[in-house]
Amino acid sequence: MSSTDATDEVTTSRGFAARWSILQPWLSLVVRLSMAGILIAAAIPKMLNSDESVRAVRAYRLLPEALVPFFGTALPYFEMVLALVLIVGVFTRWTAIVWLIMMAAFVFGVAWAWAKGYSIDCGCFGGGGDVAAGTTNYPQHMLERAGFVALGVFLLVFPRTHASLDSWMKGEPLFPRP
Amino acid sequence: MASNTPPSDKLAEAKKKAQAQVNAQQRRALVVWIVIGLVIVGLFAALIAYIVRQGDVSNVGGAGQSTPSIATDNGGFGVGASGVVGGKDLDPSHVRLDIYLDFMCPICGQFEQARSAEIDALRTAGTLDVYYHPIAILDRASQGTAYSTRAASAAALIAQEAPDKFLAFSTAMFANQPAENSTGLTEATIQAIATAAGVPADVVAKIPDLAYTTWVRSATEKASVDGVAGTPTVALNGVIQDPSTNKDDLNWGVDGGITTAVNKAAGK
Repeated sequence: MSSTDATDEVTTSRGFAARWSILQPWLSLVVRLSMAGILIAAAIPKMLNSDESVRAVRAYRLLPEALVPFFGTALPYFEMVLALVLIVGVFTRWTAIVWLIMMAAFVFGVAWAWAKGYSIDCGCFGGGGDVAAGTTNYPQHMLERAGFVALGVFLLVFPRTHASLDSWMKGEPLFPRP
Repeated sequence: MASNTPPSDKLAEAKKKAQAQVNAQQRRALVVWIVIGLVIVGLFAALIAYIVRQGDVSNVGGAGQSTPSIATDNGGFGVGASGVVGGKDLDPSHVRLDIYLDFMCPICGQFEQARSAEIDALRTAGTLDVYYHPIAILDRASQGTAYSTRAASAAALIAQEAPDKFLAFSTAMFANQPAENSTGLTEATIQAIATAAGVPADVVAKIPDLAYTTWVRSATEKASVDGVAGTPTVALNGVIQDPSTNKDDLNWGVDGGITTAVNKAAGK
């Protein structure tokens, strides 16, 4: 009896590993494209209203005024480049690291504002800078960040995705052959 | 001896493998250059956007644009006891209150409703000079019509050309305040409000010219640099008041909070 059980277990775990190796590149593809989508959604409103983006950066009171306008204007372009790199799927593991560094900086900024008691909106997806006291949403915001960090960690651990330039570089097929 | 001459298929395989490696290396080099190119293009786009913005935001005036000479350097319209912008009754020895407001901001409307009587009483008593700063931080909240900028531009025009009607116009604009995220008021409606507030017809006729929008943008940026992180913001004798972090600061949220703080600043 017990030996049969052991055999079953082995087959099951092998089955899982096999299924995971099929599923993982697809999951990673979804994660990669979601991250690109999040970045584009964050970048476009900031590009369209750079004044607002600059004010949002300024509201954190973290950077010296000499850097604030450049940082506020340049940030969405940086986000857009990162989004394009994610879409084509090149150097995916490095991109995930850049994403995580960025998230760490943003989380630090929001934690800073929260700790200092500033009544500001993160301005992550445009807008931001200024809200009335009591309408800040720091906890929800941190939860959202945690989700973004989870996406980045997943891609860092499993950077192999379908339809990526990474696999094209290695001469692998873009999609698994049926 | 046979080991010296490997079978031809083995050789072909090794050749194929080497070729594949060379191909992979070439592809990698190509991709590296594409990514570097992308980063450079992004950097240039960011630099151009930055330079253009820096030029725009400090460039008050331009084609069809005006600067209200009656405004202070930090973008305020000063009103003393007489209620006229830039009046002779403005006096540096009075307590100074700077009020930053956005005509689209609902809390600014509440501020106006709840506190204008208190502020007016202090002002007409000759204790207080009030500097109104119409700024535009909520342009995103009017479905693309940039109501905050348009309304502030009209206010700047009236402060400049009908300085005795500025207060009446500002009050009426808040009394007729559109809902946040609506399209805001049209120029025609703003004109009607101005007419009802007693603004002369020749000034009312200029409202649709929107001649002060670049000035509004620059004044808004200046306010942000000066530490205004939202509206309404009040500064007492030049110091921004934030009772949530400093409990001794002016707190307009409580009845009489403004009077208490202003009298204290006046040494009364």
